[in-house]
Amino acid sequence: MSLELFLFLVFAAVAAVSGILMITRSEVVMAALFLILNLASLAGLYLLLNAQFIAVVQVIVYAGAIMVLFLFVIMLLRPEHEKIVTKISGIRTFAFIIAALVFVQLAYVILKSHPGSALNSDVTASVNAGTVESIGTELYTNYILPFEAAGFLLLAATIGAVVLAKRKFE
Amino acid sequence: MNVDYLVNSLYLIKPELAIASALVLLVLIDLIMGNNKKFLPYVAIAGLIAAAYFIIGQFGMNSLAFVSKSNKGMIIADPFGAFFKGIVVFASLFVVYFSIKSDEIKASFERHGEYYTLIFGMILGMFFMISASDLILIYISLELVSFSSYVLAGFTKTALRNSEAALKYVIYGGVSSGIMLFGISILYGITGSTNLYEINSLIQSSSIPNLTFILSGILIFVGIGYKISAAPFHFWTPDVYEGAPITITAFLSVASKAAGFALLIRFIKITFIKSVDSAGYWQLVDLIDWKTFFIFLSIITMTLGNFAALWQDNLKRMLAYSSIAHAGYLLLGMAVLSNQGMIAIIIYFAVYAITNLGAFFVVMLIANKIGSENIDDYKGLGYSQPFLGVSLAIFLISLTGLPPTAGFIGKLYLFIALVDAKMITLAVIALLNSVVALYYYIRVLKNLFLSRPANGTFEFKVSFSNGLVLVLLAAPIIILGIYFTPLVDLAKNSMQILGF
Amino acid sequence: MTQYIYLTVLLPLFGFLFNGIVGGRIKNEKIIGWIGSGTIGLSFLVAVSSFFQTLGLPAGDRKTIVTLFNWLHAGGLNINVSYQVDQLSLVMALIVTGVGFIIHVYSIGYMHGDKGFWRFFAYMNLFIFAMMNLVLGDNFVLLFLGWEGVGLCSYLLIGFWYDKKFEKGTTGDAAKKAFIVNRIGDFGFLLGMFLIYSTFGSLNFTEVFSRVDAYNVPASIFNFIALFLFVGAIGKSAQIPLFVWLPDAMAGPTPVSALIHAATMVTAGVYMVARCSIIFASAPAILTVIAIIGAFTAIFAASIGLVQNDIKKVLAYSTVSQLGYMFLAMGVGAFTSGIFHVMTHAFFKALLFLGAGSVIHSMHEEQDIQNYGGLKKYMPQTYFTFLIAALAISGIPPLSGFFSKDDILWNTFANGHIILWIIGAGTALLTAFYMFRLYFLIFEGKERFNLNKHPHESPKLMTIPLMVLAVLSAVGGFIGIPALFAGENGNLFESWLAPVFQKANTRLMVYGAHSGMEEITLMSITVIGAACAIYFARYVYLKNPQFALDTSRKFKGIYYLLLNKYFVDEIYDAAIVNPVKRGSERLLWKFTDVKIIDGAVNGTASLINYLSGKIRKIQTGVTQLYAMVMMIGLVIALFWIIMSL
Repeated sequence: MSLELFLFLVFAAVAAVSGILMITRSEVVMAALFLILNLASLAGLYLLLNAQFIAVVQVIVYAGAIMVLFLFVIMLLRPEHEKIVTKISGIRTFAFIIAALVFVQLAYVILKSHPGSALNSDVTASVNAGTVESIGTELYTNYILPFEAAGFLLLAATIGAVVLAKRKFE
Repeated sequence: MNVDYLVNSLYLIKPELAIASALVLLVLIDLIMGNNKKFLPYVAIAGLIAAAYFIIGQFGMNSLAFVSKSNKGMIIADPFGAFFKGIVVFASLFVVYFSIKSDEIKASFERHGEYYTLIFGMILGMFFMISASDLILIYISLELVSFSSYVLAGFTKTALRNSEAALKYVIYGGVSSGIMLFGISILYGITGSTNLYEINSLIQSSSIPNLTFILSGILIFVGIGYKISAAPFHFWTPDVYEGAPITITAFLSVASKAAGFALLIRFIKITFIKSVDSAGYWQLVDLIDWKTFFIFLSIITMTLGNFAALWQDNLKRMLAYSSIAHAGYLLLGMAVLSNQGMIAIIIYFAVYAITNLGAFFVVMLIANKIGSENIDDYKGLGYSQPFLGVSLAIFLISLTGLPPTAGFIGKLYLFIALVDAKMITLAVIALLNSVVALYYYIRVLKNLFLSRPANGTFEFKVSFSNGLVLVLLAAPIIILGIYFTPLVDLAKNSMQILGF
Repeated sequence: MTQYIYLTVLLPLFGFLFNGIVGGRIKNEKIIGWIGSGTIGLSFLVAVSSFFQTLGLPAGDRKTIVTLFNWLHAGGLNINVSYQVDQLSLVMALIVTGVGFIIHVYSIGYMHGDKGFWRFFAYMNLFIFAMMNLVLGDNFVLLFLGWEGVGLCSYLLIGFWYDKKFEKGTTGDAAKKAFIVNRIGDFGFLLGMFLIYSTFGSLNFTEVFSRVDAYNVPASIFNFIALFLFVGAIGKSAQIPLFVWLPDAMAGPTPVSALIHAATMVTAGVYMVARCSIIFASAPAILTVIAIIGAFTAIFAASIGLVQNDIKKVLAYSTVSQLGYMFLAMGVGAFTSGIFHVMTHAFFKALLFLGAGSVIHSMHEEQDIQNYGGLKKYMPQTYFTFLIAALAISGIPPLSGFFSKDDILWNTFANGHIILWIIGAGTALLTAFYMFRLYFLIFEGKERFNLNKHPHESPKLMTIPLMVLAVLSAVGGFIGIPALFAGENGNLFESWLAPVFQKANTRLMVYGAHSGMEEITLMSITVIGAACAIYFARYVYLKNPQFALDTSRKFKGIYYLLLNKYFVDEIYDAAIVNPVKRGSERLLWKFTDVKIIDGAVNGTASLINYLSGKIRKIQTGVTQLYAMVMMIGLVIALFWIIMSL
């Protein structure tokens, strides 16, 4: 067992377990903390895939900025006073079955057809592709249009946030 | 990467540039003019007219923009895209006019700047959706449309149902776009490309793990199916259509759907096509059985839409279900997988756009006065407001698809395409569905003309400009119902997708 | 002007739209009336100039097709809205717009003061629009649209005074009868059209008719097509057994009877047979059937006309009888003679109806000829024009009716149908007799009405159209002088139409060898017979009225049989209408409808209700549930994929 595989198994297990723990906690702060753990282990997985830039962004943006925002909201809203709704338990079981079915099917499809077999693994190319430089070059040359479109997406999202927030205070 | 490359590409995306500039202009004018919001709609209309002008130019184009060594092009300028962009601009012009006249929108006067900006965000997203040839751009444009529409659906501050609609829209949209993104990532994983043309040439030449490939195709379809509200991805539609302001509902039901269908057709035709035979039938790559898929999808969609519409008392909600049913009819045209089916879709869509805008306009005019969209409140409208009543009747008859309205022509070409492709059973199912649809449309007509109005319900005058716009929408339905050759010619011309 | 022929269609449409939309508001009879008539007048001018332009072309090139736009092009079906200008359609167009214009002008006077004045002109213009589509269309679809359109206008105009009493019911009932009987014919016509499309793969006249020769089609198919088309013609042109609607159609205003139920619409069947002459010529058996039905209709209706007392009823039966003549002509392969008779009949029958309208007008809606008499001195212009028309229809030379009727009879004889000739000649005698019975009872003798009625001549707007038609009835026949008398030019009308029927005539191989002497002998027989009949009518109804009473008493049985129109309506009621009614009540309504159909409909409705109720329940408003259903959809799709590999 190579180190790579070992690390993969560790990160994957941590990600999966923390994910499950996150959605089963009744304490919101605990759930948020498990989410941080989940996101951090995903960053580890990105690193294993030679996607250094994304791994860093993952840590800074998700584990850093977004999670801090989450915790702020939780503190402001004080959700411990809210009742936890558990009345639709039948539906919950059913949903669980559906989710399990989707999982089994996806697993079957992926195991059956070896999707990775079609591509040759080129380690140096993949290392180079993951660097900040190559991502930057791609963004500003070939993907200039999606990049600009993403700019408008952010603008729309900002304006939308303003509209929604303004409404609260009007 | 040199300047020539950029300039040549920019030349091909003039409509998009016009809309983007108008968007920025709207933001700036809103900031500069402060509380004077009167100019905003006119800026919007000017931007739309400029875009329309550039779109007309695109009917003669047939090329890719942003082509580089490693990428076969991001965005396409062709007659097909021009047609659907035309539909979007056409709908936007009317929606801007509706917004000027809508009491709902007038009430939130101080946020008009944001309102028009977000509408333009949607238009820009739709333009990209219609002409993108790269999965990344497709995804970003979908999100751009979705984000703007989430906010617009919950735009008016007063109604509680607004916020509910917006929230549902966000959750549902989030789930489906997540699934779509998963599909895109798998597709990229097995082909190493995000460009549709490149994927097409790849899957024709080399062996692709077909199971995974199909999986990614279906997952990507979830995102598109959600946009065109095909069953079972349609659930958001009734709630959002009912909850959103009428102007936005009209916009979603026409423009958003147009962009969704354009994306669907382009995605299927560019990615999976092998060849087009002499009779115009598409030979697809033998990986996904899209035909069966679309057949089942269209049957489920139109049946669900029509049957659920039978029960609705709220006209907006009824029109929401009817728009689901119409998505089902349009998918019939996809199931044929032929040029003839595509012509039928284009004809159908042109008619549907005019008709639906008209129907929502009448609903809005009446809601402005009586504050209700309930069918029972329309009793006797045909007597006290014959002009509105007759116009609404024309729109509903056209939605049903009866002659001599244009709706009939749309259905006729769809059925002819089905019969020519020897899909008689499907044609019969669609026909039966139309009969069911007749029932709920006629129910409205019955209330309009066969019941006496309560006293003084409809004592108002339709202003000249509103009347004119109504005539502009109603007259083409009758004219195209009798003389439809130009529409058919336009459809034949607009069928041209770059590459095939 | 030929390329502007579509104006003859669009102008009446404009008139209809104008009168229909603003007519009710402006309420000015002058504007409504003159827009209504003026558009038809302009159409007539366009038709006339197209006629002269076409006349200037060599005989082989006289067919022009003017395409307005491609209407439907899908799959193998290609239908243009295009108009065919040729010898036949020009004749029909001239009749429709020319006689139509005269009748429109007359109507301005006749309908004066009616509260539905604008409605009347709107309907009349719509009728001309539909009729022009019928005669000018270059394909069966346009022909059929016009065919249905004129049927609709006929319905609307018969029931124009919808609340007025008529016989046992109201005019609305008469309108319904016309509509329903016509439906039977239309059904046949539709079947014929479908069969044509499936046989020849087109509905375009030029294409279909050229494929008659090119395609190897079995004779039985031709027989069926011809039979179905003829069923359509029977309905529209009121032949046995579907003639019953036409006498009832007299419930409408008199100008309507003149225009629709005498001059134009009822001849649509004749036009259609002439247009499809090549198809009928390929089915000789059906042609014989047509000839026999035509001849019997002619004598049958004429015999009923002998004893009717309602002035318009007599004219209605006379119309049925004359239409029978036209079909006789078609059946014996004398297409030209048939169309010739369509033209002359349009002149003199329109004149008779308008004259009758003038009489009815001045007699304050009295229609029973027993209550007329001696009107000659009160209304000299009506009297004189009516006399000309009566002489024309009786076939007295040199008035128009003589030439056309004689042409038909001669062709019948020449083609070897001796028995049909005898029937035709007999009908000619009966026609002369009942026409002059009508004339003598109206205009001659003593007044049989209360002199307080003060009959008076009609206004100029009504008498001038009468005079114009009188001139046409008098001289209209000269364009069709038989080749025997015409010298080197031959029969002008025949040579004008010859190219249209050339193919059909070569198929039929008509005309045996006959001498001119034979023709003159037969002509003399009918003319002398008609003259005798007129004299006899004068004797019976003017000199010796007792004779008529005695005869009717002596032959009571026959008299009642004729007076009650052979009890055809009663027979239909007993044999078809009542059984259908009763059967439909017992079997269809009480059993099939209530039990099976209602059961099925209600069952389906409640099933749909139930299902849609269930479907609606899915839409609960809980977003998590929506997402779950979406995932279920995904599961099913994935399952299908995995299974299908």
